[in-house]
Amino acid sequence: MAEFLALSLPPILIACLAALACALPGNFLLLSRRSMLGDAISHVVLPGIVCAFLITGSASGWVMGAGALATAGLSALLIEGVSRRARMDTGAAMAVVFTAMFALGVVLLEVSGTSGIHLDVEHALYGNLESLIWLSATGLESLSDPTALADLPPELPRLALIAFSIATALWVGWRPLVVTSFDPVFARTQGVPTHLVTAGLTAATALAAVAAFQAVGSILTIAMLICPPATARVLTRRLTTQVAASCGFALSAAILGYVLAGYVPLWLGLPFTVSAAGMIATVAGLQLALAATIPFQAGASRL
Amino acid sequence: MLAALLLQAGYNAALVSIGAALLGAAAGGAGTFLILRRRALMSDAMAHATLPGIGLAFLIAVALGGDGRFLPGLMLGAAVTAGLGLWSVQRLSKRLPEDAATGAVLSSFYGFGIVLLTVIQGLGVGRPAGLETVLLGSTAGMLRADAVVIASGGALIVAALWVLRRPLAMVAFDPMHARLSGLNPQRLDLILLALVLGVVLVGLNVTGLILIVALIVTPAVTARLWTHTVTGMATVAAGIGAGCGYVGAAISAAVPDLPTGPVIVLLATAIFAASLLLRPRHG
Amino acid sequence: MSPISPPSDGAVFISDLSVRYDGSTALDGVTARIPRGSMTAIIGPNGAGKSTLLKAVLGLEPSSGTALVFGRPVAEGMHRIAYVPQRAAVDWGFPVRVIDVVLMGAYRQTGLLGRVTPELRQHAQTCLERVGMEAFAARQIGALSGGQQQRVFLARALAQKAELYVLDEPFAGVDVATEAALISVLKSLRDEGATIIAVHHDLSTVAAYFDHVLMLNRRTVAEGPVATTFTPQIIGQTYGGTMMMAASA
Repeated sequence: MAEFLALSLPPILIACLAALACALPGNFLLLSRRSMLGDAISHVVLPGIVCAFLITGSASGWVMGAGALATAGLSALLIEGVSRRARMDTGAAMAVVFTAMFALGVVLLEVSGTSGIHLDVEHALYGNLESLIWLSATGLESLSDPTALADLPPELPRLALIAFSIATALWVGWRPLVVTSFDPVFARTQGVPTHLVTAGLTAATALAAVAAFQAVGSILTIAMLICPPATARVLTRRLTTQVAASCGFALSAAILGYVLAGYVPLWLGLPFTVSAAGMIATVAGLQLALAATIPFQAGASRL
Repeated sequence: MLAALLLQAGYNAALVSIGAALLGAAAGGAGTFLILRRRALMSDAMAHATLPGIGLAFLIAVALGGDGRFLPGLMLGAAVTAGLGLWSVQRLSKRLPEDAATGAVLSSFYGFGIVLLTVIQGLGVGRPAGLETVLLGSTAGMLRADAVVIASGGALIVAALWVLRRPLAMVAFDPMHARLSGLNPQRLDLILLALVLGVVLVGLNVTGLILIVALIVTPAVTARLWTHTVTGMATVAAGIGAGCGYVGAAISAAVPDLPTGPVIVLLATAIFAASLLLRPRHG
Repeated sequence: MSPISPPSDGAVFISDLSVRYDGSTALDGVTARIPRGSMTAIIGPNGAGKSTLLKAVLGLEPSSGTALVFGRPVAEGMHRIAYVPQRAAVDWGFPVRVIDVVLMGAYRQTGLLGRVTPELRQHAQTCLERVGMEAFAARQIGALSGGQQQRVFLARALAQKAELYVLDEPFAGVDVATEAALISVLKSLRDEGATIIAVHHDLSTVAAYFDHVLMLNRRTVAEGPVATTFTPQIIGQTYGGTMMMAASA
């Protein structure tokens, strides 16, 4: 039990919170056909973190998070500017911008040397979920012991706060979000500040991506922004149902993926575990594949 | 570095630079038609979907008694899962927006690839060291045989694109008219995607799978700023891609710490940014 | 109605052609025989299935029933048909010049890998002259006005050297000068022996532009020479039908 609390509970909770924080805004990215924005943003987090570290010399999670948010915002602006100025579709503009910023991050990392910064490219890509452990946990009583709780991985309260904020923001902005995602032109005629709503959604995505990135790496962030909402979308045409179902799929992927990665190899007698982030992304993809094989009732297959 | 640029850094390095240049030309040319078909990010999904194939091919090669680093085998594995990824995107696109389908396939295939990489590490079999170079590419210490594969693959793709440039352009411009003219848009789309897949496979060792999308997309969108015709665009894009591939490979060979992919991408982005600022007014 | 057999001299023969989208019927047993060398207008209210009929005949829309072009299944006669869609759904920023668009029409003559010969280029230039756009050959397609773009797409159709021209609302949203230019080109094509079929909206110009009409409202209301078919009574039947259907729906 103590071992579970110390080694497994924190990573599972963190994976669940990261999954929720990403899946929630992911629903609206899907509706407004901007799903790949999550992909772009999670690639530009790397240069943000590297730059923040190089400029401030601080390896604190908050400082690097702020740097990552700054580059995420910058890249969203760049994507829009490039696609407008070069008159190209956003997919191409994204590909130009995020690859350039990711490449810049890698080169900065290599040139500046990685000493002192707890980061390398592989870590950035697949995160390090397994290392987020709670060594002070000695048993169930630790859950009510303030000194032990203070020793929880800092990612856990941070992600909890961010997931809660994003959920609240969606709750408050639900109606303008829905109308803007569905028909932005109509929304504007109704006096909805669509630019503000779009920017807010981008900001929420960036916040989720940055927070999740630091805990679980970019690949899981992308998977969670896209797969659970897509799975829910395939199964339902009702928005509230879709959002709720996406949260369910996010949680089930996180938990199932972690168990498959952390326990199943040991049960099979193998002397090692496999990447939890990779396995969670795999499960999220399998859920979608499974949902897509279920034929939906007539009439719903047309958008 | 100057020596590398002037092809005087040894026969191998010269071959690698030429190979990277041909790869760049193929990527720019294929990218032109992919951009015009509005499917830029499809190449990203394909590239990421190669990873599980590479992992599986490595495991199979080890099981058969090799050290796992058997390049044709790895490329075959990569092609199989990339093709599977592509098929999945097309299936999912019937029920989802295409970009969501692309992202879902990209992330879950890549995630599974990472699972396989950790399996390989955990098993401690074969010679997995350096398998990560497929992520970001590295031309330093590339074998002569690899360079020959890259150069001839790039040249073949360039030739195929040249031959097919007009039907591909017609399908991209107006698929319905192309169909009424007796072309088969679905088949040409498939051919184009196969050529892009070829670029991705050949590019794995040069730019790595994360950044190959930039070599496909960035030169093509840059070229679009400068020309009014498809052939012109493909030619300019191939030229930019070739230049970036050549110079990038040379720089990376001279400074082994620098992975090749990011260097090539930054060169291409610099040309794009300069073009955006300097481009001629379009009539 | 007596059973009709496919005539060998007609341009287009349609028999019992139906198109259904899941649940709703867009076309219901349409029948028509459009004579060779005619200039035929397809007329009907919104939602009558005019564009759908063109697409079904061309095999761009799945349908049941028979559609023959020059007495043969349409797939065999495709090289004899030129189609000008309703305001072509293309990316107007696409890097093609006007002359390149027209050359795409000559694709059948060059084949998959064929070269663009100077003669072909000259032919494309002639097609542009016919629609009065020769001065714009080197312009990017997106730099033209809507009417000019429509003329270029007609030039692309001309380059196909077709015998049957199928146009979907060629005059929708174009300026008066373009409309006059387009109709004079179409009439001269007809005089050279080609068959023209166009979806048309403006009832006031039907008699001036066309010699044959197909009155359509999901099914054939009437079909024949303009002089005998385009009568107030039949127009009323064609358009009134919708109102009754709308009232009963």
